[in-house]
Amino acid sequence: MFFTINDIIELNEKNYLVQKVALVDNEAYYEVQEIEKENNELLFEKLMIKGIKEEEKLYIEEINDEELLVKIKENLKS
Amino acid sequence: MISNLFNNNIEEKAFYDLIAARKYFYKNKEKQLYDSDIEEYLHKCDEILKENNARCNFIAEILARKNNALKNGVYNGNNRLSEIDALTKEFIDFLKTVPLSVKEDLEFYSKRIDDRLQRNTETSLEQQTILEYYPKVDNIDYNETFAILASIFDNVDSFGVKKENDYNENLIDKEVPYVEPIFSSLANSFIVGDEKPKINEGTSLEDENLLAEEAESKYEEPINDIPIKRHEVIGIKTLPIKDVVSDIKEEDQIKEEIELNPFDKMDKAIAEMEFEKENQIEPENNFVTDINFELSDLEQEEDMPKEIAELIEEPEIPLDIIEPVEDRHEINNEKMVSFNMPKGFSLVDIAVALCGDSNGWIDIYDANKAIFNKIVNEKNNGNFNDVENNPDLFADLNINIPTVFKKDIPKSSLKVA
Repeated sequence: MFFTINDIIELNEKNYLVQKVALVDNEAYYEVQEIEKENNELLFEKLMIKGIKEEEKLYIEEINDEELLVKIKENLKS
Repeated sequence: MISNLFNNNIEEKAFYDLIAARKYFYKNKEKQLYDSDIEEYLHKCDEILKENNARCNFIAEILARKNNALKNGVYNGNNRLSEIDALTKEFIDFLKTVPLSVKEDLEFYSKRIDDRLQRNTETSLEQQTILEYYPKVDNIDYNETFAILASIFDNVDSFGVKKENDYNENLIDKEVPYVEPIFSSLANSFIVGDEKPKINEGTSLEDENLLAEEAESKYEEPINDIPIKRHEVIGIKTLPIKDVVSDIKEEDQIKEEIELNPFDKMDKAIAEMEFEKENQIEPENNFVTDINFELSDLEQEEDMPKEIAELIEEPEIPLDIIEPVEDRHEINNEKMVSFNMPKGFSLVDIAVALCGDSNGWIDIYDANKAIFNKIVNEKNNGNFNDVENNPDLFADLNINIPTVFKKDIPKSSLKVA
């Protein structure tokens, strides 16, 4: 688990708020929603992501696989 | 000055027909998916029942009889009803003889079947509504519609694809299965189920198969080509509770409060009191005691007229302050066309019709952010979930549509059937 609920993931351009977490096949997936950098106001863009650690850097990767998304949505917990 | 997307009423009508047709056939596709789901679940039930030596697939039998009876309109007062009753009784008796895990599995699949049946019915109703408003969607002539709408697609450059002058002639004269790039994404939306692209006369069976295979692979391209986006995380921090108060948080807070035992509550109350004492400013007038202060405050609050109390409350930021759409247009200096949102169509429908990608709605939303935010706040209580698929939220609204859709649209509108 790289993140927990209510964590703010800071990227170069955007910030995302972790809203829900799901465990599917021992992999953690996160439902995140974009928030404004200045005042943390929720924006409309929602994503399903997972965390990846490579060469001591942490990345987030968007999930696009429809089948996996169905599985994740079934297991989402807030 | 923003020009109108449509030059005349014929274009407007053709455009609405096009979106409606796309939506109608998409619903067909949805229904097929639900049907295949039902078949799959029935098959799984069949396997489980066979393993446990059941006489037949009770769920499938009951379902078939129900469907048959409903279709023929003889559900009541017919032998079917007694058959269904008998089968249900037999099924209940059978469930008593099997282990709990088997029972749970069957319950799981039967719930899924019910869910898909429900969705199927809802989709059919939605199709009926579309048909009521746009009766032609069943047999729309795409070649004619595209020809009428050619000027619109001249204005709206979908994904910056270079247009060729003769794309229109190609489409009409040769009846090619693959339309020019400007329409390929559109055509993609209409290929559903058993509908196959038109093939010229004189082609052999082998050619047809090859063409069909090629067509299938071509239409699947956009799905396979979705790029995996990876972003480096710069930092992680925890959100202060006061900043964003979502429904989830409120629920969590309520749960926390409920879960606290009385001793914890007392500790919390004492800590709060100590904190208040530490931060309390001593009154300048020493003759007035703390008790008098509290009492007088309470009395004042009780006696305060409602009107004054309302005035004292923090004023909400009026939504009118939000910058108007036209200002934004001027600031960004983007080319836009105006468009009156029809009833029954969502932003995704419009985006698919115009730029061939459901994610195009983000660009449309961005071009009208101020007015859309205002409407979501007013009509949808600030709930931004699934606004792109809401068919009535932005109806009758004059919106701006960007003439160039961005190529790097984030694949964020993840649709799950």
